[in-house]
Amino acid sequence: MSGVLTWDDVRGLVERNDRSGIVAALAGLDERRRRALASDLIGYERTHRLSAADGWPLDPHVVERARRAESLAVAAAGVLAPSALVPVLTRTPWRWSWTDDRPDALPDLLDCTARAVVARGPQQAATLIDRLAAAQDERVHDLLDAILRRTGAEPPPDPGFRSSWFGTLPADELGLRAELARGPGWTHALEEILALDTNGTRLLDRPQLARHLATLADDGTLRRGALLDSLVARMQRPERPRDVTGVLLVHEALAPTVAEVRERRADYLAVLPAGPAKAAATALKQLRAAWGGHPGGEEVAVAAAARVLVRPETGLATAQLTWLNDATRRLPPGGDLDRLVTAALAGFAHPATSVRERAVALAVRHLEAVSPPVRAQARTSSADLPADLRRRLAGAAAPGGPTAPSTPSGRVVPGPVVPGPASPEPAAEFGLIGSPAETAEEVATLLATPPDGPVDAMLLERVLAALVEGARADLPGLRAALAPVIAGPRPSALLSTLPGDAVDVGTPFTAPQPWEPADATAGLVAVLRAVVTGRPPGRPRGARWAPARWVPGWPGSRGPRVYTLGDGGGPLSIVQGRRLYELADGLAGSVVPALLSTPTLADGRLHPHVLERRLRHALEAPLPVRPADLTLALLRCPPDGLDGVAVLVGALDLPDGAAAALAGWVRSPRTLAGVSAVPSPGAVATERWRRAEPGPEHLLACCGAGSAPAPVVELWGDVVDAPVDLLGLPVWSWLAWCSTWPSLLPHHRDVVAAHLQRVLLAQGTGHVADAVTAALPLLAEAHGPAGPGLHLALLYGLAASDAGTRPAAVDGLVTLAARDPGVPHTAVDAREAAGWPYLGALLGRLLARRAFPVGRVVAGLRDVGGAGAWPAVRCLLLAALPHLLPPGGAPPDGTDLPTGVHLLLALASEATEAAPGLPAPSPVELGGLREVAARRGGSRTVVEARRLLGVLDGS
Amino acid sequence: MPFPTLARMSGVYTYTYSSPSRLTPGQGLVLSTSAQPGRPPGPAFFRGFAARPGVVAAGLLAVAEVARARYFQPADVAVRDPVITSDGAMLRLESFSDCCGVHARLDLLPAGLDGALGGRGTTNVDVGEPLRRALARTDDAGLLHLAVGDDLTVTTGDGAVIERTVPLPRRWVRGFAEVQVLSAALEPRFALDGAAAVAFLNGLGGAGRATGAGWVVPSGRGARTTSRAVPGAVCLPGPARLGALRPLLRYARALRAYGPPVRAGAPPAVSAWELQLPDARLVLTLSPEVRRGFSGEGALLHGLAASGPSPSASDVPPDADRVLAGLRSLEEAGGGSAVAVDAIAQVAGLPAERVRAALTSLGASGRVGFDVTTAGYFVRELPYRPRAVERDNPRLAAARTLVDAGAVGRPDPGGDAVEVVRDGRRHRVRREGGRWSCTCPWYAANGRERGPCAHVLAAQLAGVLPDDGSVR
Repeated sequence: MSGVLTWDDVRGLVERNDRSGIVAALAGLDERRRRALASDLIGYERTHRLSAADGWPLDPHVVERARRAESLAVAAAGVLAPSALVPVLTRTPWRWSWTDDRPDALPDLLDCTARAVVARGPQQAATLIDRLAAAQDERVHDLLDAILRRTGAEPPPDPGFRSSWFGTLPADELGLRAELARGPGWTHALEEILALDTNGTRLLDRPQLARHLATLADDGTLRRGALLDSLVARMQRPERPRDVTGVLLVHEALAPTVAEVRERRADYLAVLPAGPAKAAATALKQLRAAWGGHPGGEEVAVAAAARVLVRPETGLATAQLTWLNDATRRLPPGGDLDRLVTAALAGFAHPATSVRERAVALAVRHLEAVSPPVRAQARTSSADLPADLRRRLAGAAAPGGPTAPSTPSGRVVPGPVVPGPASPEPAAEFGLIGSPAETAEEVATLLATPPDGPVDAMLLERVLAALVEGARADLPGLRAALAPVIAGPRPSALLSTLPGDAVDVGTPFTAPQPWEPADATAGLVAVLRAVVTGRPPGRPRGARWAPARWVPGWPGSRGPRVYTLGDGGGPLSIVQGRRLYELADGLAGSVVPALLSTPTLADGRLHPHVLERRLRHALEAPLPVRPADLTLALLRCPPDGLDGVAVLVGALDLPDGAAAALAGWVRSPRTLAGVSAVPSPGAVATERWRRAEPGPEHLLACCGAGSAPAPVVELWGDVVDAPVDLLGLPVWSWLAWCSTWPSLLPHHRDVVAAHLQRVLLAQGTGHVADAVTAALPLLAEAHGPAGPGLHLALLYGLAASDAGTRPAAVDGLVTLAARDPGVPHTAVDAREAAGWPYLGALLGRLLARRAFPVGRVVAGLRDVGGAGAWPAVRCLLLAALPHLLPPGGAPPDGTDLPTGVHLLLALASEATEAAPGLPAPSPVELGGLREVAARRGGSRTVVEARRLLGVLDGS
Repeated sequence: MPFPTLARMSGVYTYTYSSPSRLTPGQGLVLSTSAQPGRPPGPAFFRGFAARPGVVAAGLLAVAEVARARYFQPADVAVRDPVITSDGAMLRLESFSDCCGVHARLDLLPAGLDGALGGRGTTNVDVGEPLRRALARTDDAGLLHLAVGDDLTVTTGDGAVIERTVPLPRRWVRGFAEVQVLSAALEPRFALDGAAAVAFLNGLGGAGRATGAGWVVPSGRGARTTSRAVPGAVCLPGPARLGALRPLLRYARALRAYGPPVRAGAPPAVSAWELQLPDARLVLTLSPEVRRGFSGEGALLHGLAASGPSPSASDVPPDADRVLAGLRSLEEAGGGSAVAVDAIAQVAGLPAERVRAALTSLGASGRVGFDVTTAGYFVRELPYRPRAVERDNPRLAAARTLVDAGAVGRPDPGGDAVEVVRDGRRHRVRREGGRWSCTCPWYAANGRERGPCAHVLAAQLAGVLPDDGSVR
């Protein structure tokens, strides 16, 4: 290189990755020459910039291009004006040099770029710093830091940059001090850094940094007050509790003095109402340490109580009441006792009984000494307390005793004021689609169902009915109406896919691989394809999954196979899938088949008279009748009153004598499925299921017809797991369809519920699919026996870790309560495999086996009671207690009682007070409750057991 | 003509502050407001003390907290500045969450303001970290002096000017427009007293699916969540979005829930939650789903399309001036309370339908809001920008493009359907019984929940389908 620097010279340096050479060549360049180079550089950058399509450095050519882009950034820093330079720098990868053999390749690159910037003069560098900071792009933070080091400038105010810098700080004290030596601005930045979100989280991985910060504050390197201010400011904000955990590490290491806390009294008080629980606990502790027992401390205690006692955390409220109690004890003669006691009254409305007890104890202790208005307020506030606490307070608040509250209060309280739960609305009539245009819109809506559902069962039924009717009446018109919908990208991708092809278009209607005709998803695609193209569904892979066909049934049985639960069955969607498959087959033929199974009510039920009419029409037309469709139609009818249907079924022209067998089955008393719980978890579990740590209850689904020797199928192993494993069908391919299951078997809810167990349990620790959640209340509203399947499904829903599922279970329980209030039952009825006592016994067994935490079900059960079902909740809880507190007072296996049993006992007391007048259970029915209550000590379980006994005796 | 205080520059609003807002022992809370560049300072909206300093401070913090929150896909967000409106009798402080799915409004009622309310106006209030900390320290035992208005920039400023640009304020204006329309359909559903409100809000916890939609029904003396819509229920999608109410629980006197009439199994809907406070109220309006921001709800698109061709920069919506004047006079006569449509119609001398149309046009620029607690409209003194309304509603702009391109065909023989064809894509728009529908993927995914699609709007603009007088 000689003479005037040309673009070719610079390009050569760039393409050789000679970054130091670039810096040297551009140093001292005059402005005119620089501008001339700039236009060439911009054009070169536009041509050679990397794109997202280049991917990560798996290809040596890509690596080379990336390094060249980084070298070009060095040249750009020496040539371009800041406004043009910032976009180039933000596009530069700044990462690819990591793949360089030299460990210092990236720092070297950053330093070269910074040198090129600095060489342009301080004004240019300052402008670039401002613009880079304003870009708020974390990809240039390392470069910005390198420029700041070169220039010795103070840190820009951009929180993102400061957080990035904090994340790169050395974790050792010496390194930290060296970093702060960059200037006072860096020190101040560090003092304030923890007030910014996310930086506390960074400390969790490097807790030693918290100690070093405290050390630096102690020796004056950092201003201790400023650091403490930023910590407390972050503690005041509720978001990201984990972030605050890191902040508290520094706070603990800093160990604020009493004087510091007193100086920040208002700041610490501001943590209490909204800060995360840990932060609030720390603030309360600091305030109490600084003010407890000191002059003026009462005022702080009262201020803190107003903020803390409206929070739900038991520990916080307990600590607050302890402080108030201490304050009353230390109050000098003539002190303002009224304020302290009034502050404690807020604890009467706390959700935890233990807190209410403490608040009452404090009030009772001082009630004689407070002024009459405070006594009156105490009486007013006591209306929602448990009876024993009300009595305590009434005894202390003489004369007059407790009075009725002047205003209603928040907690749901005992008494007959809450009406019983409302019965579910009767199912609506099933609405049909009126025109091909409307059919097209409904098909589009169906295809737009989100990937995880829930699939709208009645929308599907309406579409199927409209497609069949449209194909029969005016197939060209139907196809014309569907054309705009089918032309969309998703439907066309689906419909152009041949059976067996894998295609993922982000809907639940993804054709699985291998194609499974018994899968409802593929079945729907097949139906649409048959209507639009006239193509029949292809032959499926896997001989095991042959299409439905007429068979005489099991030996000795009088009916067809029930495809849902037979030995070839799978998730309930499979019955839907077989029906869709045969419908597609029929629609592609010359004669459109009958569609018998379309429901007449929106919950899936089919009126027998309508079925008779359809059968008669099929016989007269005649129309082909397909097995899965007829089976589903029969299953959607009520079990009784089908004589007329039986006659018509017997007249059908079916092969292999199936018509007569089927008619006999229709006439016979039919129990589609008996579902029973078995106590031994390991007896029938498959190996796969054992690995998945199943719940303690296993269900046996007895599937068959009437008095036939029904095959007993282990639900988990054969009905659900095996098909999924065998076919490679991932759960999501049918999960979205769970919401349609109750409508498939509207008279057999226990069978449907049994199928849902697998999903509820398998997803019990995470997000339960919307489709499953949607099914829970539908189950309760459905018909047929309510047995272990339904009860277990509702309990697992009630205890789901996904809080979004629990209200659905509450809805189901409220519906059950509306149908069966449970009033006359006592725990003796637990021997029955149905009803509230059975549900309670099931809950007790599950909790005793630690299937889920007690706390998860308490709020839901309180909601059920609050909806007017306190008698049912009482019944349930009394039936559960003997399993948790067996005779003798302790579990027979010697283990401790499950954590949180006291919550159930407290709820049982609440329910008993709320449902007065019911017969008290016998001593036998109470299990070990009396033994627990007779124990010495004051544990919560013992206290609540005593309270429950008292309430029961009183009742 | 009231003075507008927001100026638009290159797609963002530029606010100019004389100084940051602050809380000082001597001057109390000084809410530094934005001044329009080149304009002399105007009179103060309000100057005086808050009767309940703790309530005002906590309420203002809650509004600011919403402004810095993103409930869908949480992330660090740039802090936005709440908008404050005075109608001469009370102050309204408003903000949107960063995801635009939550609208917060703090009403400081006349009884809680001990000072002079000096006229009407709208501006934004700078709530930076120092002010946030100062407000957090404020409680009812102290004094809080509020000074809202341009003139305070003189009394409190030191001569330095702080200029801030706030990214994407257009979403706020769009949000104001949508909230106004959607809120007008809300009715009170149930109310909880203070203790029940505390129990209910605490019971929601921080848990729950971030994106799921739940419902709330009254239950006993409290309320409970339910998984499905039932008559009387109020939608509560993303319970965490009510978190901004928690710091105010110690002041809670009642919680009122507002929602539209729903039938069993109805889709998620807008809801409003009013926490009644001493001399104030905080209203959170929630979008139907956590992932949906108000700015995309499309509730006013039919109304805008009905107003005719694309407006020019100088266009003023029909009847807007009369309606605005009537609304202002009624506000002043009524001491600032929000005004119902019938009353405006009477004062403006217009039929109610034309008043509603004018309110839609005004609302599209955020110039009027709807107060669900009093079921009436109020004025926000914002500039009218007809072209921005067009640009802020891309579906409307796309519909006009379709019409201009001749994409709307002739109606079917039955006269109830028409094809819209563009770039080989064919969609059928139907109008039956006043209900519009379309076969496009957007309509399939959203139905009628988020306003009409561009094809429906195009058919409406083209006027090819008979109007039976009911737009739904």
